[in-house]
Amino acid sequence: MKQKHFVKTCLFSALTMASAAAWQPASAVVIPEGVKLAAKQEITLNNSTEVTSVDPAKMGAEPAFNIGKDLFDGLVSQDDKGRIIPAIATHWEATDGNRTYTFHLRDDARWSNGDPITADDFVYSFRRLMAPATASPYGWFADIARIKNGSKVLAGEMAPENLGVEAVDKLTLRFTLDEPIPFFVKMLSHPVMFPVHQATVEKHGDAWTRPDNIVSNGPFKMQQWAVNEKMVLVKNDHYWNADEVVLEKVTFLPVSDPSVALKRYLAGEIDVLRKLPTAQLKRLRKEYPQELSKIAPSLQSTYYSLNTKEGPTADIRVRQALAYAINRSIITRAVTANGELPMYGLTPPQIDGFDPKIPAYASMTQQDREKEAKRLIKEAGYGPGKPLELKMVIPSYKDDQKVALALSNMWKSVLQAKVSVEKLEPKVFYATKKGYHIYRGGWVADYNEASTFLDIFSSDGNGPSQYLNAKYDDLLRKAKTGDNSSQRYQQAEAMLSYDFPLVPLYRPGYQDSLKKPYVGGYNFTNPEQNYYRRDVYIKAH
Amino acid sequence: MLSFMTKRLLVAVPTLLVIALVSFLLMHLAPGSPFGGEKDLPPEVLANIEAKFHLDKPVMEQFVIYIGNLLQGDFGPSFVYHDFTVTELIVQAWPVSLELGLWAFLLAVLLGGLIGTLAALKQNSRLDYILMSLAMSGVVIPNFVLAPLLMLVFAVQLGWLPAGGWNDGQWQNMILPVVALALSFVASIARIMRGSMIEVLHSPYIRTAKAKGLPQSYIVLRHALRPALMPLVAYLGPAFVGIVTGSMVIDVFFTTGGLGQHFVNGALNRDYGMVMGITMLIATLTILFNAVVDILYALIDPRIRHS
Repeated sequence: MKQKHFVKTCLFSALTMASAAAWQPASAVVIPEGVKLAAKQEITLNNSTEVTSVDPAKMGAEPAFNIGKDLFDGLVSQDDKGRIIPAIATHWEATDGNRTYTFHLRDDARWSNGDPITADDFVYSFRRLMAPATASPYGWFADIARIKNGSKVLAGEMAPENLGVEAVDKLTLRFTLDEPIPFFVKMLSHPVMFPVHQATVEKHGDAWTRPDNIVSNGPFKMQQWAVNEKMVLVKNDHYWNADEVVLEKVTFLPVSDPSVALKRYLAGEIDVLRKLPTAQLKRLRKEYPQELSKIAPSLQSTYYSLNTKEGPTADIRVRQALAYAINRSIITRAVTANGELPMYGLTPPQIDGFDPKIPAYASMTQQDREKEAKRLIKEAGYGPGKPLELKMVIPSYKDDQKVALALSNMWKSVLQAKVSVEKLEPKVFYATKKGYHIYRGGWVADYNEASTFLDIFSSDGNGPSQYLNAKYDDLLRKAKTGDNSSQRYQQAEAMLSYDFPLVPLYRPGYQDSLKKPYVGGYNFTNPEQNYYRRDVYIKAH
Repeated sequence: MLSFMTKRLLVAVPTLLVIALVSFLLMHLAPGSPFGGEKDLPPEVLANIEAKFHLDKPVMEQFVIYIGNLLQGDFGPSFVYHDFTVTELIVQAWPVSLELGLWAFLLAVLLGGLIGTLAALKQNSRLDYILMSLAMSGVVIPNFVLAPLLMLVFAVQLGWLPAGGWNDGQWQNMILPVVALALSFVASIARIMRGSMIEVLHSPYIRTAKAKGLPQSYIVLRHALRPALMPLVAYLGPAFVGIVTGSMVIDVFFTTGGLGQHFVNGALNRDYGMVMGITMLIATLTILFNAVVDILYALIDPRIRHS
């Protein structure tokens, strides 16, 4: 289809820098030929829950990250396929074997109050992010990027001024890392790594994020924040790419119950609904086929951790048997039933720079797997005289209860195991690391690289499986900091598929969502589910 | 009356202190941490956060710090909403719950009082059975069933009213939450009113008034209503506090941004500051309105006033 690009100028300045240089085009809204835009460019979205903060250094969960991507802009951003594109930085170079990264900032970038954005803003923001006084819940994320002295600054052993980030000049920013991190640039598209306006933060303290005070640098700025009711953003005319932003107003609602959100969608009060109530999926597919929109498989993994140190699951044969005995197709088709895909490993296969090797048990038939599970459990000494008794713990979310019930029934039917399931209030569940054999687990990628998943089972991951494997740790360390990462990640994944400190279950497949027909440019194709309202427009309707 | 009020206020101070201490200890004894999540925070990150919220100090020291701040009118920081203090969140949310609650209270008292009185006057008649059946349905249909039903009918099907939101207190946004909030109170008030009105109507002095040939409306309004209100007033004091401090169900279904959701989410998220703040607010209001009820008793019943 012939497309009309609203981009007046794209960034194709040829760069021939040392090592990895970047010169991809920046983001731009793409409106198909013939589409008429509505006079009122406003959209209302459900953000699932109230955000804990819109301060990039204090964000701690997806709802905040989602809004953060509209309010702020980082050195780099992502396109609708999740590829890194320039944002405040027009281009960058990695030198010294990925130990030094130099970013060149655009000279037309402005804060929402008109102040220019300089390299000093980033230096201040990174130091603030890692300073103990900020108490950032996502400070650990910046530490994964291994910015020089980051760990010591975070632990209060060194002043933030010693952090490996410096302003070479007004528009040049340099990071020095403790270890070579090839995926460093990818991490910078995360909202936690976005800058804050120093003068505003210093003037207002914790109150700097209020609508009356906040100064941001994204495509939108905050107009109203009624906690637990709505947050209203309006277009930021000082945004460096404001000419390409079509929407004038974005309203986020914090509706946590999918059934309630659906009613508001049907009443015309929400324009895009990502999470649909499972029980109503069939009806919605039948009644609103023209409004259904598929969300591309995202980088998430649901699994159950097995205690490798205590109880029957300390025996590797029991862990293997538990993994083999599960019929994942039944779980994804009949229990979760929203397009999920069975998983036989921890890391979603579509993650960047990872070429997954399917574990042997994945290619067996379910019948053969169950046969093998029975053999293993018998070999481990369990049978009619000594039944396998297991204690499982899950958070009291409805979806988890359904999956746990299905799992315990499968283990009962194949292994004659007696599994007691304990449901705990989520905060109590998260604090429960001992006393059970099986724990519900799950993770959503923070960045598009296998270590975001595989790190969970490293020795310092401190998970309930208590999996300690020096070889695994070594592989991960080398994979994160050196070449040949894909092969090493593959080996690490293979270790998990042999030792089974976890039972992999499923990941999201193409999931149904609802989108009003007049919403354009809202593509659910980014694998990290990073959706940017700068790309969205409302068609005349 | 003045000495009575002074006494009540003096008793309130230690009562509030005990409530604060017990709530504080219970909150901190509850398992789970406000900062717990799918992935454990690294120890140094957790230490930074705990230091910020004084959680690295012994519980009693934390309590002393809390009370010190409280005496200066500061409920402290929210452990979950990092951009706000608890006082700011309450100041933002309570007016919403207060306005919703006041309308719901007014509706419940007027409608409940009227239904109860009519049912009592026509005791054991068809009208009595119909009205009390309706009242009973109000008791047995919880508002978490009623709220989505109202949304479905009036917002989704008929499109007459918004399904949610507050919009700075637009009347259209208020109708459904007010009705959902008021209905169970209407039912309770109607039942209490009916019972007490029947009792009063069987009193000898009402019989005397009837024997004198006074019209029924005069008897009810002049002689029966006031004593019949006595049991209702005892119920209305605590009910008023409950209705104006927000309802989790109403806030969740109608996304009004009221106080109820803060209280329940605060407990679930272990937001110690938020739970303490709302507990102290509700405790203060409960003590205050119990005193108001006592004063109302005295105003309604001269026997109490003279004793």
